[in-house]
Amino acid sequence: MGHTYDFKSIPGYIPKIMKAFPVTIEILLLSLLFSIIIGAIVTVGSLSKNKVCNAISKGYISFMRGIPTLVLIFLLYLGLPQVMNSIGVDMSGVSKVAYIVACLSLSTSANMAEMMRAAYLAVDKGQREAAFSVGMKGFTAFRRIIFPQAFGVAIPTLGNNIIMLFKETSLAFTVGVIDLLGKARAISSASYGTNRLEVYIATGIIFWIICFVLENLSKFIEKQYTRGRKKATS
Amino acid sequence: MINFKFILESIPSLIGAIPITLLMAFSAAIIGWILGLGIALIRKNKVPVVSQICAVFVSFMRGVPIIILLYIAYYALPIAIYNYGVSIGREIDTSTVPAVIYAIIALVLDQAAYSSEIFRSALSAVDEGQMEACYSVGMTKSQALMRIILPQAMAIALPNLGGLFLGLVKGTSLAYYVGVYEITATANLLAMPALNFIEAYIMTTLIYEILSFIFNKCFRQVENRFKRFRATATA
Amino acid sequence: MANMVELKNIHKSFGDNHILKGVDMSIKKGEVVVILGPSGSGKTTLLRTINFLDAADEGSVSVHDFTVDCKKHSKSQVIELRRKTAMVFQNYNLFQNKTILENVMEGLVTVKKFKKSDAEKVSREILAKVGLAERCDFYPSQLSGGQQQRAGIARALILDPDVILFDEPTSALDPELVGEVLNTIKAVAQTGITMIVVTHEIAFAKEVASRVVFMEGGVVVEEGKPEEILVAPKEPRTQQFLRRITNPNAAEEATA
Repeated sequence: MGHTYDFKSIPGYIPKIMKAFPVTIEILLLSLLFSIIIGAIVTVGSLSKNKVCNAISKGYISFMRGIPTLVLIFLLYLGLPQVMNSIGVDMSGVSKVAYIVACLSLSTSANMAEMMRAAYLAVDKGQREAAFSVGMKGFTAFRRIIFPQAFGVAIPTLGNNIIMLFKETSLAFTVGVIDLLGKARAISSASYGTNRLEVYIATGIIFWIICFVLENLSKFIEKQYTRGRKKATS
Repeated sequence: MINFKFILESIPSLIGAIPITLLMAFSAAIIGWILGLGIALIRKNKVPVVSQICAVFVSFMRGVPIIILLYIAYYALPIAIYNYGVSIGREIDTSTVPAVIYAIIALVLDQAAYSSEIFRSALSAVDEGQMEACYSVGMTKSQALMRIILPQAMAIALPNLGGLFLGLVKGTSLAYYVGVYEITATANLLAMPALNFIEAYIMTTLIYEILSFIFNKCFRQVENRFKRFRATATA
Repeated sequence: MANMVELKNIHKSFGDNHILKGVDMSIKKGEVVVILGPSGSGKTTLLRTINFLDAADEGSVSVHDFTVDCKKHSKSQVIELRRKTAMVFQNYNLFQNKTILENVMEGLVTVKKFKKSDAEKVSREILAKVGLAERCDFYPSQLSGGQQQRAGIARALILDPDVILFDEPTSALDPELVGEVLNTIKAVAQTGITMIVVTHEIAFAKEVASRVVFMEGGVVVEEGKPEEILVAPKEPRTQQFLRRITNPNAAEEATA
């Protein structure tokens, strides 16, 4: 092992690693979409008066919060095809990106569900009653009155969940996807690991910058969205 | 299709790996949270220069995935230790340092950053009047902090710290990639020879689920104890 | 010893907002001084400069012959000064993580270094005096505002301070709870302790004050015996204020 750093080489790795950025973005956006859909379904279950739906939703959330994403990846990527094979289904055609998107969607959906539930419950009951009182129907009341308010409440958590999801995309390399970290590892092994520290630091800096941008974007959107509304209540 | 013999045989090894997972989680939480509290107090009191350094540190740690932190710690620390040895005129054999040390250091830094944000918002959530009341009876700032402000901030921080800890336990699974034989790595190792992946990972999942169930219960218990003075606050 | 509390030329600004514009005040031992004035007049700020919860920009504060210069003061001077005073807050500010008994004991144990058992004994006695003997082991959140404020008074009294500062002690209370707190304050006043009270309760001021100070715009407009200031004020600003506070309808008409 070399005992020297070459910090000056770090900036040079950044554009090389960034070549894999589209892959990371693809994983991020797809996982975000599916996690919101699954999260919404789970939220409906957890808010429903049906005890079975309720128990299933809560059980799902608590299961997903207990399992490390890495273990979920191994379970699905290595374990599931074995089970499917034994019942005669061949999963070898499924792409690695699909596995990662599935895992990240599942694990993030629990956070999304908790976010949606909290945001929904944060909207004052009187709002729904007021909507009914002016003659709105259930879904109209939700779409026009409840949802816009709940969305405002959820923005900071949503931003946070997206940032966490973005960081978790770094696990894509574990199944061999060439995302940002996968690319970094490829660059490092191409030079037999001699520059691995510099490459990992460069990757860290990329994640740091993107998270920084995402965080400020989330704060900006929150401000824009809640500006008029906060004034109205004061 | 499921190999029950394998499951039975692998149980002792998997359970045997729990202590190393818990060692990482507990040491990272204890050291990291103490550092986090320190960072929170520094930033709250706006200590010049140090406060800005802490802000950059926290932002970096929060922006970088744990897996990358682990890699950086794993490759940077041996070089740092070796160079330090050279500077004091000794050649330190860094290969004798167990990988778990590097993993713990990375997790400590991660926990310090995240917990500092939790402590900071908890400290801000304590009513300003509490500090004034302390001053009005003649307490010093450190007496006020220790006896009144921190206990209240702790009660506010606990639910979030509980969540942080559960995330940490899960995060230790990534130490697998820097060569720590914790639960996930052990499962992988056991599964490899005969490709018993499904069995190994179902077992692993079960262990993590049980761990998080237990820790969840523990935190609820502690929360209730800490919160007794706010029990009827809403009533 | 001439005066128990002596304020000289107190100035205080928050940013560009000049709140106190040179206030002088001398208070003798055993006096009960009630400070009146419209909101924004600086009366609460003045009270808070006495124990340095807000440090004044200029002037000096003396309590029981211990003088602190507002411009240059050390931390230990401030603590020394605070140990000669006690404060009762508008929002009670009881320690939320301590029971009522512990709230009262806290200053004795941490500041006066009493033994715990001794502190507990005198604390229970004083809580009995303010009518909270049965509530010793409750947390503040479990009590009514009136009970909390009486505990706040007990917490201030137990330290045996040279002066107790009351910052609008009944303003946060529901109307039906104001009486019990005012009665407690009256009882404290009869013990001969020096008190400075910022309040809007004119009837209370009439009954308890040995002197009334009327403030507006960061200065003392007028001061004197309650029967002078409250019945026959000389200054038009005082007259106007009293009219407004004793007859809210008139005030509405005036502003409309």
